[in-house]
Amino acid sequence: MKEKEKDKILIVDDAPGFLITMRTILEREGYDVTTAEDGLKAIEIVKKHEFDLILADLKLPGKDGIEVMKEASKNDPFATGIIITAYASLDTAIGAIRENCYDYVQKPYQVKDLLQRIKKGMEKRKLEKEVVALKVQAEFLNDLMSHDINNMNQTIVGYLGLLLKSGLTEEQREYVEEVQSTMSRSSKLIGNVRKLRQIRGIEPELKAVDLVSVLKKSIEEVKTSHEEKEVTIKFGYEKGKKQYILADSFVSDVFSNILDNAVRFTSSAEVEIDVRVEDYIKNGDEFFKVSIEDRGRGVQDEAKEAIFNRFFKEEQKGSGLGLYLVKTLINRYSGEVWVEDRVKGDYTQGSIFNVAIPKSKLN
Amino acid sequence: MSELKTIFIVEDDPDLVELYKIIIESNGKYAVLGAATNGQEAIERYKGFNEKPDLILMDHRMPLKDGIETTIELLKLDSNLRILFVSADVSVREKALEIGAVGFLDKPASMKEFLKEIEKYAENKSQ
Repeated sequence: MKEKEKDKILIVDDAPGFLITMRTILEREGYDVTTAEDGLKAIEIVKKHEFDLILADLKLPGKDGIEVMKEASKNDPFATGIIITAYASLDTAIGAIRENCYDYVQKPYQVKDLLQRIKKGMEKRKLEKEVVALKVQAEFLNDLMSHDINNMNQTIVGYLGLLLKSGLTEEQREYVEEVQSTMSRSSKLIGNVRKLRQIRGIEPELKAVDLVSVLKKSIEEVKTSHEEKEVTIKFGYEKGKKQYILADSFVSDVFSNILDNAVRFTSSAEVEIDVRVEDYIKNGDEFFKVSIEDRGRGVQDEAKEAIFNRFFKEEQKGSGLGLYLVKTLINRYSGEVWVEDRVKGDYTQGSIFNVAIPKSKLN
Repeated sequence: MSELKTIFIVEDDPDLVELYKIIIESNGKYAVLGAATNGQEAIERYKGFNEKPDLILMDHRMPLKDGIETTIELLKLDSNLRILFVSADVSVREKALEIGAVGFLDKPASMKEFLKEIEKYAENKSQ
């Protein structure tokens, strides 16, 4: 079995006695120890090597402990140091903190205490490195998915379209349409992953959005993307009155996803959806509530909250992340989203998805 | 008799370039002028054209120079160029329209949507 690599410590101090004592103590704790008696020598070392922790005296001949840490950080952005000194002052403490010094210990010190701080310092460094590595990996995977895989999807979708026009039998056409339907879900999933990442990356900048205009657009989009079914969408709202919500440009995804689901989860070829906009007040706050009612297969009581979760997987055609995106966006707007049965008590007759978004002051 | 409208493709994925060519030339109204696989190449090729293309299809994510930068530079050379973005990068949509692209098509797009957008934006030089 391979021996676990020892954590590396660098000790910088001009008192040789201190160096010997610390070396003995730390080697007994299982650390790999390097020593230096002055600042310049230490800087030479940190330019070439990385350490899990650096222990440095503040007062050193040549460059002081804080300058050693400064140099170490140039080579290793995760460089973590503990400054030990007999001379305490607020200025040096602040200087130490600025230059990547994790901790600041005064002489005389307790060995047990110092060992604890060393351990904690190393843990912090390891965690930071791990976080950055994970972020880099996540970026890579996301990139692969949203660019490369997406391009391949586009190629597939394109050739499927050409295939359909090349004169197929009824059976062949059916199979191709099945593939198209799955490709559509695949594209949607990729799109939603991408959007979720974008949303997380930026601070919400909320502004007044014309609700009726957004809804009209989403309704049009859902109709054109489902030509295989006959989709009728009734849209009821107060005409002549502008209805502004406080949201951002992503709000159309809220409605597109719910409408898309409404069509997908209605098994018949004829789909009827009712969209209504009403005033809604909760706890003294004013909202516009959008209700989207379908005659699809409905949502069971046990699932009514779970469907908005990230890891929820439907038995059929699940996890496009659509509703999770909806919930994420609604939270961003400080709104509410919930689902109820179209016919109370009988979920099999369809659902009503309700979305409440705060009204903009512009109204 | 109306001339064929010409289209210049800027896209780094060669499979997609091939697919676009087939779709574009399928209905006999358009001809593909050529293709470039990155922004740099696009600008060089453009400078060598005898005639201005009726429409340019612009991908965004490309090596050397991305779609936005390329569009800015091309429009500097000729502000009347019609550039249609075809990209999965929806976050870039606003910026693209801001800098002067005539439209933005989300990837993946169906053949129908693709042709519809091209029809919308490809204009004859004589119009």
